Amino acid sequence: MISELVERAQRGDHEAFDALATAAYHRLYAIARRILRDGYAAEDAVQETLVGAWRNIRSVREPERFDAWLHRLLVRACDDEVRRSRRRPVVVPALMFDRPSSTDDIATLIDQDEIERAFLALSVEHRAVLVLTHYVGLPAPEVAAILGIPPGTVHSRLHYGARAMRDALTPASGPFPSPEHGR
Amino acid sequence: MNPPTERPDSALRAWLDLGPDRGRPEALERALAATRRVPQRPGWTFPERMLPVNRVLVGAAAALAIVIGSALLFLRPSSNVGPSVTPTPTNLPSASPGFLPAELMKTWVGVPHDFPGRSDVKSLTMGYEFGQLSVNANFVYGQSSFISQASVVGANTLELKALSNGCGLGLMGHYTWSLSPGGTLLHLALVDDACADRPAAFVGDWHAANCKDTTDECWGDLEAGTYPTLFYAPRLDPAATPGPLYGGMTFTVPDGWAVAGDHTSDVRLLRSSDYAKEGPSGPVGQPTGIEGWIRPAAVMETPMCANAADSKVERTAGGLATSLSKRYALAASAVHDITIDGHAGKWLDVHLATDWTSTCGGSEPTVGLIKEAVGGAGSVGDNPYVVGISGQSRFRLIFVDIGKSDLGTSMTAMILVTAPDQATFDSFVNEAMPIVQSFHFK
Repeated sequence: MISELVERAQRGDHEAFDALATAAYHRLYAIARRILRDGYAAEDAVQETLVGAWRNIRSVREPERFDAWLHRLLVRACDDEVRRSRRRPVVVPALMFDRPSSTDDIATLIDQDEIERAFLALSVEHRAVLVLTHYVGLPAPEVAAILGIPPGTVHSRLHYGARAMRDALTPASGPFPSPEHGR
Repeated sequence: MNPPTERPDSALRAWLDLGPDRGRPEALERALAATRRVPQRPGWTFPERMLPVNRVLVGAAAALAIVIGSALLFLRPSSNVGPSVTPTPTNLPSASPGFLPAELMKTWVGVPHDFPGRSDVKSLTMGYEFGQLSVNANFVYGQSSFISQASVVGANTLELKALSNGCGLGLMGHYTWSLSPGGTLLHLALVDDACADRPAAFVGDWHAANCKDTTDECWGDLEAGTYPTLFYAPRLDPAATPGPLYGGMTFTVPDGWAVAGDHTSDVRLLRSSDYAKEGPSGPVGQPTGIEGWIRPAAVMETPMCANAADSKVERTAGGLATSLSKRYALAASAVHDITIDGHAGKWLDVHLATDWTSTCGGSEPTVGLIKEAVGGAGSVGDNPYVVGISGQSRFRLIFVDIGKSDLGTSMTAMILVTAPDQATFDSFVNEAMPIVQSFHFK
């Protein structure tokens, strides 16, 4: 079915492309929203992805891989979104509360805040690996194929991301994690 | 705090699951409408290859490729932007026919100007990728113009064969190029072109953007001259949306300087010798350099490091400097007057007081000083920036009232001269201040 729609879209059939785009839209948005952490930026990235997909769909030679191709366009669009807006991933100094360890809700909120900071300190490429792996649930070879990187690089980025998360959840992490992000 | 072991993956998964998983229908409709306004490209013009990727081809292409792209050029006749001593382009030894020489495989920035098919151009880059040369306006991926197969056909002569987006398929053009001695200034001149619109996009001067941070567009190492910033927006109104801004500020440097970062909120200049020691993700430890920041607001002084903006401190040069001079956490000089680009300002030197012990959870004493004043459009970053000082670092904080934004808001810029210790600061500040005095705010 998807292959047929792709082939029709390649012949200029807008309705076929609309069907493909509509089927993919919420998934693309959810991924972009998680990579960019901003709803409006995510919408912009998805629009850029769909425009790019329409423009270039005739280059797709394996219609059954359309979704993977779309994901790759999306990650590029997310990267472009960050570049275009110059949204600098500044990490502010850690809030130094007297953290009430007995209050799970507050601890959870603090953890989420720290995960957010650590996540935003990563490059878009690293964020994409984490989202495609941990949110979408894709295996490393598929993530590698989507991003056009070796599977080993996927594992490396997962390791780096896990370390960043671990550092974020470690009490000894400093207020200015690195000069690039801390000032 | 929860124990860190075994938790990162599960914590990350749980956190990722929290966000929304459905987009707004109206955004989908807008996106579909946008696809109606663009034509499809012939299949063979787009370099995207289907999966799985052929790593050998990618490696070969990457070795050749990459990007001439972006940004700037001086020399607009009516502008004061440009090298103060314009390097005289000198021809390179003749290149062999075929792919472009490595000297051209950079990101190049031109003076933004409209050209056939593109209007309201705020930034202009030229890039080379997978054998194709193209220009791009406003950093919009997927909308490059005049995509042309590029090859060298003679002494410093390029041949462009049109593929898509602006010229008829296969139309040929020829251009000569010359480079400055330092290889950072490129001039393209027209020989002939069957595509009448293409020269307006390519001909002229281009400046190499050699940013180490590949997620950024910034100048990197510079030859002596006067340069514009590419994104820094000192007069960006709190209600305005950020975007590329060519020449939001200009500055003049001697040989041996670099720009390591250029964002809407900040720009960082430093000596090339210090830039050479940095990796793509920036310096390790407190850098020695000059930084520009936008919309400074004082941070409340508290050992709890909450970094909340202090609404009682006036967000003017005088208000901010006076407030910082009285901070318990700081050893501060007197507040001095300064004039930059005709705008009145104040400056003071600071370092941490010896009896300030709060570490904000880090390994050395630290305190937040200034954060971004956020208005109707929100922060220009994912979070408002916070500038803090820690350890033995030395800052010269300079605040300048730079006039009103486009929307009529009075704006103040902050300039920092920074060093990791007193001895470095003492030797650096005299070198830095002439550059600071050259700042011109658009």
